[in-house]
Amino acid sequence: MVAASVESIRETSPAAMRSRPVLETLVAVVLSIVAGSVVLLITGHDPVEVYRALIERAVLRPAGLEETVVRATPLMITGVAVLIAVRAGIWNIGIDGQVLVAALAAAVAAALVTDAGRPVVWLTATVAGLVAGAAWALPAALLRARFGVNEIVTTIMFNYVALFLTAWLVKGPLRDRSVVSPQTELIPRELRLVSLGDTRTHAGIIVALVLVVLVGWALRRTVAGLELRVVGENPRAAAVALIPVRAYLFGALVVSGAVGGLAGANDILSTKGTFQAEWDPGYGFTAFALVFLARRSAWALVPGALLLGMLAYGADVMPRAAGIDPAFFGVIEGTLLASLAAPVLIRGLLARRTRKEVR
Amino acid sequence: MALIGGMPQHAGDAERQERRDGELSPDLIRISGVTKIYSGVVANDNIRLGVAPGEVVGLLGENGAGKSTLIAILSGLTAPSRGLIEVGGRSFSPNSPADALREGIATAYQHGALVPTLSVDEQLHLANVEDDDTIRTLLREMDRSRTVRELSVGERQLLEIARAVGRTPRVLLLDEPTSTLEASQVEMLFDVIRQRRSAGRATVFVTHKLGEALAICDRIVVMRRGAVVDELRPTAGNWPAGTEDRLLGAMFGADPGAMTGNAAVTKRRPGAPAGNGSVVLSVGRVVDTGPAARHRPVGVSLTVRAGEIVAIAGIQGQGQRELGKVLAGYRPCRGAVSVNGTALSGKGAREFAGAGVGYLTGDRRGEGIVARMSITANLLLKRQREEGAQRFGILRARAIREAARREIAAWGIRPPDPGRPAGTLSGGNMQKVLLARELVREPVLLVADNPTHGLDVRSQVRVAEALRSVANRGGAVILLTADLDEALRLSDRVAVMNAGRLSPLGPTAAADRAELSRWMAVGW
Repeated sequence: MVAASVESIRETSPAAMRSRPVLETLVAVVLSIVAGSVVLLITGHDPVEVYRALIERAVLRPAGLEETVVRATPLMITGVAVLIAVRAGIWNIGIDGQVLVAALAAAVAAALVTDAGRPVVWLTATVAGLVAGAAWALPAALLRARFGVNEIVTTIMFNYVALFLTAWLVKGPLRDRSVVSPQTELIPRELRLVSLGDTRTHAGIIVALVLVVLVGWALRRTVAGLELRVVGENPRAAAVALIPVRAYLFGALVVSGAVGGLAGANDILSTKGTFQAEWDPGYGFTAFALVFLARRSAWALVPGALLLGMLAYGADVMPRAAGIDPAFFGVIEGTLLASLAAPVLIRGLLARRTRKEVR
Repeated sequence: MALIGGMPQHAGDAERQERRDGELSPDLIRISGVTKIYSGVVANDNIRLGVAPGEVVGLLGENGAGKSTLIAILSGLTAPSRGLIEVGGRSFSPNSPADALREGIATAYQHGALVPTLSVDEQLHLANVEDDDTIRTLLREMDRSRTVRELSVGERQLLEIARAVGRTPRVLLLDEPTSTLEASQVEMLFDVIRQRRSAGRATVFVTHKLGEALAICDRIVVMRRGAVVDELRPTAGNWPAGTEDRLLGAMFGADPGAMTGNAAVTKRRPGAPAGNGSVVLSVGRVVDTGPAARHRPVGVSLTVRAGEIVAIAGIQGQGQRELGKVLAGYRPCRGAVSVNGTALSGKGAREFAGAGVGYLTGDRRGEGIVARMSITANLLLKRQREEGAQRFGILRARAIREAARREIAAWGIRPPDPGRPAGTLSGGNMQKVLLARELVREPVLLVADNPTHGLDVRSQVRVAEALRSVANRGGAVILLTADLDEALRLSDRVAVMNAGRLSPLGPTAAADRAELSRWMAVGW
């Protein structure tokens, strides 16, 4: 796994301890832009024009910026979910499953209380999402903490179970019979999360930002956050320092699942309003990309999610606007991660530059 | 102890005599002036050594004497910093074990890399090994259709040896081959070595077990602190009287007074409890029940009083580390353990720590320091839940920073930068961080596992002072060490651990160094 190699290099190389994460990340971003330009030139486009159009449509136009933020919101939340696990040294590859199960739970629970008014709908859906996400991570957490079963395998397996289980439930027992396509009962727009002013951007981004701040603070400033990080950095040293390692492995995976579930509930309460069969947003892998783009820092999830949100919106809008294939944005994302995974290369580039400066 | 007299007279005597007569045969391997320096540490110091065809050379020495480095050089794993190696009269500078193999030098490593899912036969096939007499001798008791995963540790070691032997190398290098073998398996190995001797093929046998070296070798070379310090041959097939003492002296150093220059700072403070204090630690017939270990402590009984340092000396891997973990609650055990009268049998590390037990790990980088975290965080660990460090689960950042600054100043941690990742510190400064974090808790019992290992002399003195300060304050210290001189220098009472058993414990002042070093090597 690409991301794993980033970790192992950073864990062992003393040089990494003196690394300049912000500068290195920026170099990786520049490298991916350059690589993207090469692809654009080969396919007969003008790179400058394409990037200009992307910035204009996804950032400078108010409607585009709103879409970028809307797409960044679930990435930010799932990024926090991945981060909590990663900082404890475990890999929650099951975000996608947790999002699906939680979204379905939130949609069904919210539909039950639509008569009770907005705050109750929000609270019910949120709690249902958190609980369902945590519950979906629970088996993997138990197996890992109790028997040392690799959580990567179990969480991936649970993604498939979640995908087909939710699809079956929506096509069968939980289906809203009043509409043709298989989906749950639609939550009316006026009961969903409020928009910020007169925009498509909704209160979900506030939740995401609060979550980032809260988790970033907790990791740095609380006993639990410190102990969790020690477990992630060196579980043997954690045990010697009297930290209950297994409890943290368990807890981190369950909390990670709960936060992943929050992303599912957020989607239902904002853009979706209903759970449609075989809906699968696939946030999980992008969330991993985000966490490594952010160099495992909570704060850096915010600009990272906005960048990835911009690319996601670009993939939606650019085919029509400039005739760029959506796959192009996958290329950008891929080269970005590849260059992040090659810190040696980046450090080499930076070192050469530094030497020149010294002379 | 009549070890020499009891030595089995092996079948190779006649051949050995023959070979001795044909002394003219030129050396297969000739090592001259080989020096290896690892980041400033001299691991091999100007080694000069030859190996003749058919010869069995024993390489004897305690841990860290430089045996494994020499094997690594000969097997092509690492290049010497200086010096010349000739094989068959030609200069030899292998870049890899494959190069060495082409020159007819094969190595069986202590921890070989076998493929767990392959059967024994498949494993041999993969290594291109012909199924000949030596292989059949070595594997005669093994079901060769079983996979490596299903083999015992000893069988895996035999297979690792078979893989090297099966290439019928001119020179076979065996790095601690018997450490995990049972007696009958050792005999099979010795049969193979004798077959090789008859066929004129040389064997280099690395060990720290005296008896085995004497039983099979035509020549014993002793290494100490990276240099060859002694070399012995039997005369007319028998080892001369006093060989054993001479080898022990060479292995462990003949002069126990050589390192006592810093003794003054580590002696007991006048008027301190002097070991007549109350019983701090009481251990009765403890049997380690933790995860598998090469030697687990068995039937250990021990009483340690306030104000004393008790040293437990032993060659690495004899169960001292496991004993240390048992006494600090990190490994489970059967039997009775109590600290200051509190029974702790069946309790975990948290309860032991609550009763005042401190533990200084012997694996600083592996389970002591959290490398990517700051010095401040590393100094805090173990205390992070205490009153001074947190309130309602929120860390008291300022108090923690101030405490770190105090500790850094008090211990002279270099560089004095609280935010620096602890993994960038030198070994000595890492140890200061770990010691600071134990001592600030004022332990009633401190278990220190090889606390000076790998440290420079100044840091060693600092650690010794710290241990004595615990005792002088009325605490007790258990010092586990592989260095007998250190045990004698720092302790009030001393015992030896061998194969998981603890020797009788006696006052250090009355200890017989020669006897203790014999106990370390062969038991009592």
